[in-house]
Order: sequence, then structure tokens, then C-alpha cells
Amino acid sequence: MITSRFRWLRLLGIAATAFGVLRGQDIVALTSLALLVWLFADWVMFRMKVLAVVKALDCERWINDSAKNSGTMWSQRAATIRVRVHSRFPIGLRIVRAEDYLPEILELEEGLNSGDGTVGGGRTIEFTYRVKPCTSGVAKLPGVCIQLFDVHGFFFFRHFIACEQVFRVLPMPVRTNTPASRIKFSNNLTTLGIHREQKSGMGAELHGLREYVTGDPPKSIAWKVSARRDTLIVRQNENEVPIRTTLFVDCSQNAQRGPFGQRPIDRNIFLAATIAQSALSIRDPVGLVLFDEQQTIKLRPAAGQRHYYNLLNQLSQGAAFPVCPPSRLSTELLQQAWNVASALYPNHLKDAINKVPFTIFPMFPASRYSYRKRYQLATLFSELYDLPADAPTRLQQDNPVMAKYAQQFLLDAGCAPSYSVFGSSDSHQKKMDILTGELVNSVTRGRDNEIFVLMVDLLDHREGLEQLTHAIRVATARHHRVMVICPRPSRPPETADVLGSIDGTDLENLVFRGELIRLAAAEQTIKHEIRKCGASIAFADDPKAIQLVLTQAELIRTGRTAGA
Amino acid sequence: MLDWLTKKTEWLLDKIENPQFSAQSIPVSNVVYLATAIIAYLCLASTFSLDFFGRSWLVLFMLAGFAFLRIWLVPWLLLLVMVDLLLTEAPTKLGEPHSIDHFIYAVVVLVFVSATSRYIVLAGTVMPFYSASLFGKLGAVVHRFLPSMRSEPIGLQPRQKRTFSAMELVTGLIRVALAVMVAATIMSAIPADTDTPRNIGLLPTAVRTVRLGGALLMGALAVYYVVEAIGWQLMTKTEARIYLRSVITEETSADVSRVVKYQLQERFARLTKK
Repeated sequence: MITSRFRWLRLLGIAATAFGVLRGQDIVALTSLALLVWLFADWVMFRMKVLAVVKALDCERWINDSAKNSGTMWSQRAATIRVRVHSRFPIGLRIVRAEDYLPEILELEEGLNSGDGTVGGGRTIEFTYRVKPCTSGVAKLPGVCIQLFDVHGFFFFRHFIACEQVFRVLPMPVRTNTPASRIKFSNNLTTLGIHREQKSGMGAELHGLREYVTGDPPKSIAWKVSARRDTLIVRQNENEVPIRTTLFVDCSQNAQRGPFGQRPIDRNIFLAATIAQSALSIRDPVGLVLFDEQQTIKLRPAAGQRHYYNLLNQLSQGAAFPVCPPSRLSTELLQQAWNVASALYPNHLKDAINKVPFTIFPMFPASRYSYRKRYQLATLFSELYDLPADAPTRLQQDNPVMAKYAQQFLLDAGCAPSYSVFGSSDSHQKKMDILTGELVNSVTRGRDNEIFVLMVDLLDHREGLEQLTHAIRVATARHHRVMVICPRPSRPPETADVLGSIDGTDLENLVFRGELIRLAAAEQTIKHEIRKCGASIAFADDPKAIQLVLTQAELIRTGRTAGA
Repeated sequence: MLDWLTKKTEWLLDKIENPQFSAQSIPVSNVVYLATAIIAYLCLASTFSLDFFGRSWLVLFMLAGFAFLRIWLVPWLLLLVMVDLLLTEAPTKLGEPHSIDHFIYAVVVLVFVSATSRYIVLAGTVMPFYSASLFGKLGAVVHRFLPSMRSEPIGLQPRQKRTFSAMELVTGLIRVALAVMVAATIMSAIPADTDTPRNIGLLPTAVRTVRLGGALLMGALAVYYVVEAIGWQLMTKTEARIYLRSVITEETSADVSRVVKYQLQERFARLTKK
């Protein structure tokens, strides 16, 4: 590809040649011809070097000193990435810029993810930088974008070297003080993972006395009390059982809206990991149910380190877009897809390879550019997703199908998906059906002292709330504890200021204000409905939400809080 | 009619799909064949004078006959032409003696034909003539009224069985004819004799510059296409498949667009009815 500098110089050479010929100025004409010859020779040299070097280019990448194709990273914990680009060609190409393509889930923490220098002839480009995953999920590093330049800045060539490494990013929980380790509520301290239940059982702590009935074991008779009352009295001890916590995490499309790190699902997963870590640290079994509009992934309650990592792994997979969300085809979506495709597949979008059928319309340059861009993207998608031969034309005409593949392409490239403005209540109803079904199943299979933590988005759609409250009543009727954690859509921290300084004539502000009012009303309704059926509720975007959740969990577990 | 066309379209597109295609599986004989054919033709064409409108029908006639030749005849033909060129008496009966202009003329035709026919080498397959297939409008109408009539094979056919398809032949002839016309026009525009500068108002030194520039331009074009041809051979499998897809799309976009637009209208009508 040629730069604008080359274009201007070429134009100058042609104009000067024409002038020299027409005006009989031989010196000007021959000098200009020499300039054109030099430009052409430079192009030939550059092109031949590129053809030779590109074929021999290769790169290696080490993530935390590991060159394996897969591995593990932790969210909010920085990782060091080292990249080396080299070529087996004996002659070096002097100006080469290499940039490691970063998915959106990784934020640059320190250094630059690019480097430049000479490649070939024994020389390499090497650079090191640090990234921090902003949330859990899957981080796929596809490869390195290479840009080759000539020394005069006339030509450049873009190339992509595939060097794929897929790392799962596990959620990093907050370390909390485990109340059971430092607070002693009774004389007889039970072992870790065993809690007193306020029911009679075979524990060591006295729960109460009652009259003897036939069938009571003789060893439970309290002889002194029986002698004092002149009737047989038996002693009832507390029951000692493990408390099982089951986390229901909403992984639906609604929960995956927004940029990485600010999505409701990110908050859900962070809370789930923290609660799980807190519970497992005192050896309470923790189970997991990931659900969306179509399916569930379940982990039965268990304890132990291995189960903990398994649980974190499932959580990170739940955040990694199993289903492509619906979207409307917009200029922004197409532009984003084009930008990503230009970085990842520069050779596949060249006009010589990816040809566009000739048409008279559209005639204006901007429209024609968009038309060409969409056609080339359509051809690329049809190749990447193995579509039939008529797919490019079909994608050119059919906006919803094009939007679907553009969205899928962006997801595969590690970009956050974009969503249509209009959500679907049908999908929400399906999600609620799955959630209530799973909750009732868990209640049916559960024993005593179960804690069910439902992390579900209820604010956007309130259809199915009655169904959910019914299921919660079933759980509370069986003496289980239910807690609902509802993520709020991400909103800017200066919400209060915006509300105060809103200009009533600005449509965007009006819509924003209306949305805030709607959310506030929805919050009040949901709080009222959930608390009415005996469950606790918290909103996940509150900075104190984690402490609130842990306090509630502790209250459920022990009957009192740490400060009491 | 549209429903029938839709079905035929789907059937045709299924046939067009060629999952076995690979850039690395280009048969070498095809490359040799095409290169030999072009060189042989250029040797023949360059022996003619620049009087295009007077003798070009001979070139076209020879090209048409040449296109039907099988590969095993090509080297023999080339050998005959080379012997003919090397004999001292032989060129006189074919045309004027050779000069730099003839060489430039040959280079122009070479670069034009090789640039526009690259995919023939790349694909390793034969493209059917568009209108003769069922997918074309004429073919569709003929097949509707005469379903038993045998038409041109549809889809990408292996090149091992045939040298040129009707489509390749016709489009190739058109391209070559255009190239010859363009080259002849360019060459006739360059002043060649000593009287011409006076007629067109250019100084003799300017004439020299024009001739030099023309020669340089032709040389640059030849080098450009050679370099591009080398790059073309380094194409990866995915790039080659994308190229083939875009070529197919070029051929079929008009009809597929019509069918897709109809389907979209149907879908919209169904939605509005609900």
C-alpha cells in the first residue's frame, strides 16, 4: 500500500514530465522521468523484500513466562507478556512495527504492547508489557499485527502473524475475615464446616428438655431433672450439620450488557467467587448453578480446594458469551467489525483478493466506500464461518443476518458485544422459568440449613417476578434461607449531579432521567415483593454490597452478626 | 417462476461449493499451459505489423483456433513459431521486421492478459459460461421450456477434463481483443517517423522523451505484473478461497440479490401480517 507522500510525489513527477514534454524542457522531463523510475524501483525493492520477509516471519509469546497455548490468569491481577518477532530471512527489513493484538478483556497496565526495529538477518523485535484482566472470562490473544515500512515512508504493508494463546481468566475474590474462626458463640466450639442447627439432633450443645415418649433412647433421659419433676424428662441436643450454600448466577444476555468489567455478570461473578471463598474457607459446601435463557450448568455442593477451583473455572466460562446476543445492524457495528477485521485479516480485505461486484449504485464516494466495506466483510465472514457461496450477496442484502455474523465475529475477536436497544421479554421469561425450576429442584433435593443465593437481574424485566416469589416461598417454607442479589445496570458515579443539572430540553438527558426513575421504581417494587416472601435482597453495584452479603450469609449461618 | 429460480439457485450454489479447493493444489500443467499459450500467441502477434485494423482478424482467428487446442499441442506450436522467427527469410512473409515497438506491443498484451486471467491459473477449475448455465436468465428460460435440453455443465468443473470453458474462451477473447486495440492505439499515438513531430507540434527531443517514457512505462508494467504474480503465488489457502468466493459472487450477485430481495419482502410481509 502506498502513502500519501508517495501519491503526491508521483503526481509531481507525472506533471513535471508532461510539462517538460509539452514545453520542450528536456532537462525537466528527464529529471521527472528519473524520479518516477526511482519511485518505481523503490517500490519493486520494497515489494520483493516484503514477499521474502513476510513468508519467513514468525513470533513467540510468553505469558507469565509460559509459552503454552492455554493457561490461567486471574482477574485484576497483572500478568507479564513478552513477545518476540523474528524472521528466518537472511536480509533484514529495517522498519518494522509489531503490535500484539489485545482483546478488550485485557487492560494495558504497564509498558506498550508494540515495538519496532529491524527484522531478519538475525535481528528480532522484542518487547515486554504488563496487562491486567478487567474481569473473568476467556482471554484469547490471536497474534501479532505487523506493519512494514520502507525507509522513505512511501510504502507500507500490513500483515498478521497468528500466534494464538487462550487463557481462562478466573475471578479474584476479596479475602474476607471468616467470622467462625475468631468469634466464639458457644462453650462447645464445633469443628469447621459443622454448624448448630436450632433443631433437636445429636449434637453436643443442649437445645431443650421435653417429656419422655416411647422410643426415646434411654441415654437421653435427664435423670436429675426427671427425679426433680417426678416424671421422665429427656434431654434434646442441638443438631450439628453442614450448611450448604448454592449460588444461582445469572449469565443471560441481559447480564452481559456493557463494557468488560462493568457488566452485571462481572459483579455477579465477583460476588459469587467471594461468597464461595468465604464459605469454603470454613469448609461449608458450596454449589453453583449457572443459568441463562437456554441452559444451566450445575455443580453439586462440595467443599475443598479442588472444588473451589472447579467452581471458579465454571464461573469464568459462564462469563464468556456462550450465545451470540441479538443486535441491530448499525454503522458503528459495521465500523467496529471492519476495524477488527483490518487488524486481524489485513490480507483478506485487499481489493485484489476480495473483489466487489461492479454496480453503478451507490454513486457517492462515502456510500460506495460503505458498500465495498460491507461486501468485503460479508465475503470474509462467509469464509470464516464456512457459509455457502451465495452468502456474500445474501449478507449484503439481509441486515439481521449481517448483524448476527458481525456480532459473532466481534465476540470471537474478544470484543464486548453490542446489544439492540429493544430487549426481548420472551427470553427473560425463559430465564425465569429455568431459574424457578432449578430453585425448586434444589429445594426438593436439599436438606436442612440450605442457603440459596440468587444473583439475578430483575430490574430490566419484571415478568416472572410472581413466579420467582412463589418459588422463594416454597424454599422458605422448608426452612431454607434465600437471598436475592440484583445487579443494577452500570451507571456513571456522578448520577446525582446529572440529576441535579439536567437540562429538560436535551433528549438524551431526558431518556437517561426517565431510565433512572424507572429503575428506582423497579427497585422499590422488587424489594417489597422479595421481602414480603421472607427473603433478603441486596443490589450488587453498592460498594458495601459484598460486606452486606457476607453479613447476611453469616446471619443465616449463625443467627447473629459479627458485631453482635 | 421465482420459486423455481430460488430452488435452482440453491441447487446451483450447492454445486458451486468446492470444499476441496486449495491454493496449494494448483496443477502445474495448467500454469505451464497458460504461460506457454500466452507466449506463443505473443510471438505470433508480434510478427504482425502495427496495422491493427488491416490484419488483426488473422490474430483473432488464430487465437480462437488456439484456444481449442489441447495442451500437448502447445509446445509443438511454440517450437514452430520460434523456428519461424529465427529463420532469416521467414518474417518477411508475416509482416514488417521486428523493432522495439513490436516488443512493447507484445509486453502490453502479455501484462494485460496475464493480469486479467490470473484466476484461471489460480482456481484450477473451469468456470462455465454464465448465460449458458441454468443460473443465467437465458439458460433458465430455455430450461423451463425445454427441460430435456442439455445445457452447459454448472459449477466449477475440474480442469483436468477441459482446457477452456465457453465462458473463459469468450471473455478471454474479448480481453485479448481489447488489449490488442489498446496497445495498437497507444503505439499509433507515439510518433515514429521524422515528419510526425512537425505534424503534431512536438520537438524531436520531446519525441525522444515520449518514446523513452513509453518504453519505461511498458517495462514498469511488465515488472509490476511479474512482482504481483510472484505475490500471487505466495497466497495462502484462505486468501485463495476468499478470492474464489469473490469471483463467484461477481458472477452471481445480480441473480442472488434478486432472490434475496424477494425473500426479504416475503419475510417482511409475513411479519406485518402477524
